[in-house]
Amino acid sequence: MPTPVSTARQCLTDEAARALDDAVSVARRRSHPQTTSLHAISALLSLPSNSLRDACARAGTSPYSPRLQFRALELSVGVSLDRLPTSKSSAVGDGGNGGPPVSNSLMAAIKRSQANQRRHPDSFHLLQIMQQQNQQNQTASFLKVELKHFILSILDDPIVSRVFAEAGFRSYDVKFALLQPPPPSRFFHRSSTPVFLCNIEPVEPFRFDENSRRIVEVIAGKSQGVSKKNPLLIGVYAKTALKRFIELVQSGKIGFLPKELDGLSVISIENEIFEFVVGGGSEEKILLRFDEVGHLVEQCLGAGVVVSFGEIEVFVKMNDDDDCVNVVGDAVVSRLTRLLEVYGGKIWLIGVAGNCEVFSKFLRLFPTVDKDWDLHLLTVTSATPSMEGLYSKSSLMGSFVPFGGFFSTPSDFRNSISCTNSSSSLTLCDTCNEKYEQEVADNVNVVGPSTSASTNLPWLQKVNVDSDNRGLSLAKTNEDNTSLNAKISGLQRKWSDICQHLHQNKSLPEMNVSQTLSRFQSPFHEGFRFGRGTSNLNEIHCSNPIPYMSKELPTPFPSKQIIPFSQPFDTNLCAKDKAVHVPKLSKFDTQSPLLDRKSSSSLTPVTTDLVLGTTYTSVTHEPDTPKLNDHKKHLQHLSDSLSTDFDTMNESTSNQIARSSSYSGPNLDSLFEMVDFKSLYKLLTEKVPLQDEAIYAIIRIMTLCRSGAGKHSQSNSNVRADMWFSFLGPDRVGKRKITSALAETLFGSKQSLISVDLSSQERFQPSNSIFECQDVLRRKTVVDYIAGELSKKPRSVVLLENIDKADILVQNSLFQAIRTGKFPYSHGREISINNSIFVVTSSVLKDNGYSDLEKEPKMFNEERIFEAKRYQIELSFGQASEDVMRSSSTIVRVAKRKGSFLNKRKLVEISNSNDKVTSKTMKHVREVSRSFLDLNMPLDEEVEEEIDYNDCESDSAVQKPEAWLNDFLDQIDGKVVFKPFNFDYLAEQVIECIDKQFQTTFGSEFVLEIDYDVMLQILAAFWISDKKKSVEDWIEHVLGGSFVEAQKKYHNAAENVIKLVKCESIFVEEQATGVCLPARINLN
Amino acid sequence: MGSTSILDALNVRVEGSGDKYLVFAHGFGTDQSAWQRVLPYFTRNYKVILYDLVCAGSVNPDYFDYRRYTALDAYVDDLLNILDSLHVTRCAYVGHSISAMIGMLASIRRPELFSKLILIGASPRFLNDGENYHGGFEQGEIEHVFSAMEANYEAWVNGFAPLAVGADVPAAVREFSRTLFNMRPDITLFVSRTVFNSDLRGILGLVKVPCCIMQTARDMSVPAAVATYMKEHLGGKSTIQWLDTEGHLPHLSAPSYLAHQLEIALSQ
Repeated sequence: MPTPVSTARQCLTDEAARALDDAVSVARRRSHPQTTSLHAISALLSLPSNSLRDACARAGTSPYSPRLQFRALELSVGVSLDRLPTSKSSAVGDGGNGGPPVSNSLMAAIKRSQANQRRHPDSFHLLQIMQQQNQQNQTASFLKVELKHFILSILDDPIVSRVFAEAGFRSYDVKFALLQPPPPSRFFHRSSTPVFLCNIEPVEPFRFDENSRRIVEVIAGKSQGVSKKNPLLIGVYAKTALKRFIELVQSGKIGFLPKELDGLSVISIENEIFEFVVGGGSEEKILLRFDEVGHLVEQCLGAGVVVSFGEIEVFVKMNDDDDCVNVVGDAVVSRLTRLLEVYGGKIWLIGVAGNCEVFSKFLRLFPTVDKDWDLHLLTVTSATPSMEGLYSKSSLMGSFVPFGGFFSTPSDFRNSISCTNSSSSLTLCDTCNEKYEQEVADNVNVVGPSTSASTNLPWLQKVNVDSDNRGLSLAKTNEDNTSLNAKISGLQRKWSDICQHLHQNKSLPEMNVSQTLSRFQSPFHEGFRFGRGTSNLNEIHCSNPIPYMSKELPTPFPSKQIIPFSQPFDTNLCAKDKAVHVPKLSKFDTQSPLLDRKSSSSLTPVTTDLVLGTTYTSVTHEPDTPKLNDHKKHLQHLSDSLSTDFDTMNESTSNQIARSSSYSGPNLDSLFEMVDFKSLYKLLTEKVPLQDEAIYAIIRIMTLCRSGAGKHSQSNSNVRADMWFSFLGPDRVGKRKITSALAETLFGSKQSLISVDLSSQERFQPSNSIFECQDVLRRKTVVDYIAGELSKKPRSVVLLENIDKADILVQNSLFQAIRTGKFPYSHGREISINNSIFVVTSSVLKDNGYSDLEKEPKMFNEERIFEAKRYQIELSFGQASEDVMRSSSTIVRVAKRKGSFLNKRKLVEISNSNDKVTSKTMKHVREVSRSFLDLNMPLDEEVEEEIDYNDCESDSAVQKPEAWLNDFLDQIDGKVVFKPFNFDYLAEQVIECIDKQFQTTFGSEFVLEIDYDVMLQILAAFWISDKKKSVEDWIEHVLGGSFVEAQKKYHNAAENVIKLVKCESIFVEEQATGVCLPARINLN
Repeated sequence: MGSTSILDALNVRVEGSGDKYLVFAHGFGTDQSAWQRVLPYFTRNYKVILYDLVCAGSVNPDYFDYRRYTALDAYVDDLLNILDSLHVTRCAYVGHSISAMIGMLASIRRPELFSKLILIGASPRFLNDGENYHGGFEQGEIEHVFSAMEANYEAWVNGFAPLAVGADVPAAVREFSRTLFNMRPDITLFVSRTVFNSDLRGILGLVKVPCCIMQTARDMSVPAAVATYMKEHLGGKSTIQWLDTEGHLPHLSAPSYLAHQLEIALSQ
């Protein structure tokens, strides 16, 4: 949308406005619909003398005369103007403002120049004056743009720079000339404080060379306090840099010599040295040359002479082939040294080395030269001369808006919002947002005459948020928006306050998700909060987050939501509604106290914007629905776990009780008042067998927490309902299972488990391990991952494995979380953990007095089980080794592993057991075993194991858990110590089971030998499987099936040993249902 | 402008409360915000110095002098000036891409200032040089890239960012695109020319400060051979740390992993 001329004029000083008028008249004459930058250029050039013409004249670098170039410029401007479309006559002179309106690009140029001008310190006071005016008189426009800046930013316009380029001008040069006052000073400015050379500084273009500048610096002795002042250029580009320097000095074009080096000259004796040293030239000639140099130096009127001796490769190379050259080289070097001694301050040596190898060789040959010559190494890493062509090549030059930080992608906006504290960003519900936007729009309208509020709003917000985020960096570019932004952020604050007050959505992590949702939910929670009967309303509002932060709208009731939205209910109606609802709900015994209290509690505070929630309306709207179901549905929807199937709800009654009560509670506080710990215990022990003790301990801690005796909540017990457990000791999978069962029973689904293994970043995870590894954490910091997940599902169990491996970030966050009840993102934003349970595990830490069990040697221990991989398994016939023959009574036995081993321990093991099938049966196994067990372990192996275990211990002792961990664990509500999982016992059972299968198929004539790794795999699968009997099923169906198959195939075979082995490097493709084992067994 | 301090101009920040100094220098196309996720790991044990290169989008483009910043040495001046202004006498230095080059050059000039250099995605020379050196880019390719940049900067950014990030991390791509797009296109082009015109191979041997080269898998800008080349040619004690992650910007794509690796490298 083009801007009317009158508006544009307001932004300009008189002089610049006149130029704009000229441009407008050009446009009108040509009957163009808009006034563009080209028109402005055309108008400026048509004046006989002005700063643009002047600048062009000075910037001219082409071989043609300036007059010709001007002609070319006028021509190309003319041609470009001809190309512009002419408008219908009606458009001309529109608006009665006198002329075609100003085009967007020209207007943008004006804006840029405003910003540019503002950045200049000399006009800063002006800005402040303007700002004050702004506040007093809001119709006043921005800073007026001077002609110079106006032209400068017009030159930035890509069309304009193209036109200039066509005429052989570089718009960059023109800009430069514009900025420079005509008399150029030849002084190379190095101010005392380290600063940048800004574009405005008077350095003649194209006589500048960074490398030469540095050489001069060294010669002048100004290079950072180094006294050595004979430069030796080193690097790939050193040679070209030297050449360039010599050229520049010789041509006298070097524009940056400091005063004390006035009249510096250069002599190159490179060729002579080369001839002498390499070509075997006569000594006389070189001596003559040296004398000549001496004379020159004596006669030199200027600052002195720089003598270039060229590449030091010359001295070095020759030495390789010929001893005598060293003498020659020596001669030259000593002559050069003499020169330096004699002519002291008036002579400099300069040379180059292609790389540092040459240089170090040179130093080896002439050890004193470094000192004698006072060499200053100057690294040359770029070839500068080629840069000259750059300016012209880049059509982009300067054509971009100088607002460095303003280009942000839309996603950036979101990012920054989530980075900044949410309270400052726009977490408003949409009514408030609407009002807020309206108010902002009003303000923008007033302040910026040319900005259209509705379109600009997002942009302004972006800038605002951006500036919060980036602080300093944008402060400068942001100036023109500061006053406006201040207002906007003021408004933001105001409305978010209002919004918070009314709608209490402060804890909403992402308002964008669903603003309507929050409105629909908030009254519901309010009801519950009052229901808790706490007198201090405000406190609750602040401390209690909304527990049901569902991500999706509950889809089954879309139409009903709309109805209550629009009509605010007064308190009476609300009370009535609740009263209707209460009796229905009170059918659930566990809930009735809560609800009763709710209905009886004072409802008077519920005055503001209270809207009827779905929960109630839907009941009244659907009287036909069975009440129980109906209620469950609501709870279901309100909870996070929308995915849970309704049917699963009906699985078991006890389950339902636990769940539904958990749904109904607004937070865990009341949840645990409701939960029947006995049934919880029953549920958990059902889900996780063999962990009764641990579960009992957990329940006990929960009970303590509820009674306010939890460690961390002692200080402010009533407000917080988060709980912290530490699970110590071995049995990692057991810990996982219990945690997952907790999540499922308390929060309704396994999805409510947020699990992070803190050691995963350190350890290399082998591929295809049976145990899953997490890849997500590579990409995000752990803290952000947890916080992010928590914001998605606040009612979760957070499982942090290997807490001893937590990095600093996680440590800090955890400490803060356990102290304040808020888990911080790495940016500082916080998420409430009021409805979460934190479980930290560590296998390093053990409770005192424990671990005697550990010492007992095991054939299978946790560490080894974790090495299990998803190998394909195959059956094959083979010769049993002698050991097997000896132990005749056995049918099923486990073979020792063979082949390559991963670590040292295994190597020891292999050397000990030496591929023998194990012969010694483990004691306790034998005792327990009824039948054909042969869990063989050599005696020395046992010793090995023990040592290994001790190693492990000492390892952990070395990286002793730091003080923080003890601190942290001290604050945790309760500690649960796990026992090691008895794999050997499990193995015994598994073997028994396999044995049964095997015997029914093959009878007792055959012997089955199970590979150790296969056994590991089966045990691991057993360990992690959730369903009972899944492994048994696998043995019965998959393994049993393959036995039958094998029996058919091989019943005539001579060997009577059948081996169950892994297929090396072939991994399971098809997995059996419900268990981490192959669905099929290969036959060989 | 003469009075503008370099500390302000380049947005220098010092974070943390340790007793040792640690410099985080960002690479081409990013600004100091790239370190944001790595930073918290170090604030406890270090005083971390962060700054923007003069070419970064967050620095006033007026400071970018086209004549001065033709060579990396001008950037080195800036770095040393910053350290001097802060009265730093010794520090560890973590530099990414162009800043790795800058760090090496700075350590040649002032070896006593640096206790250790950690070079991430570093290369002494990006262009191939016959059979002897494989820098990863052919001159022709580069020109092609440059003209693509000139033609449509935004399109180039959108194409380049995912490539550079390498790993499939949308957030990192977004972040890199943002900072890259914040740079004024002409400056981006100019700086990339400077980088591609630089050749540090001749001077690697002058770097006597111990270096740790961190090299990721599949870094589109730096082939693995370059890391080995650097290790062989650096003048001081140097090690290579192969990072088990992908792309040129591990501090964006795998911040916590990188932080951990940095901790290890710094403690060595």
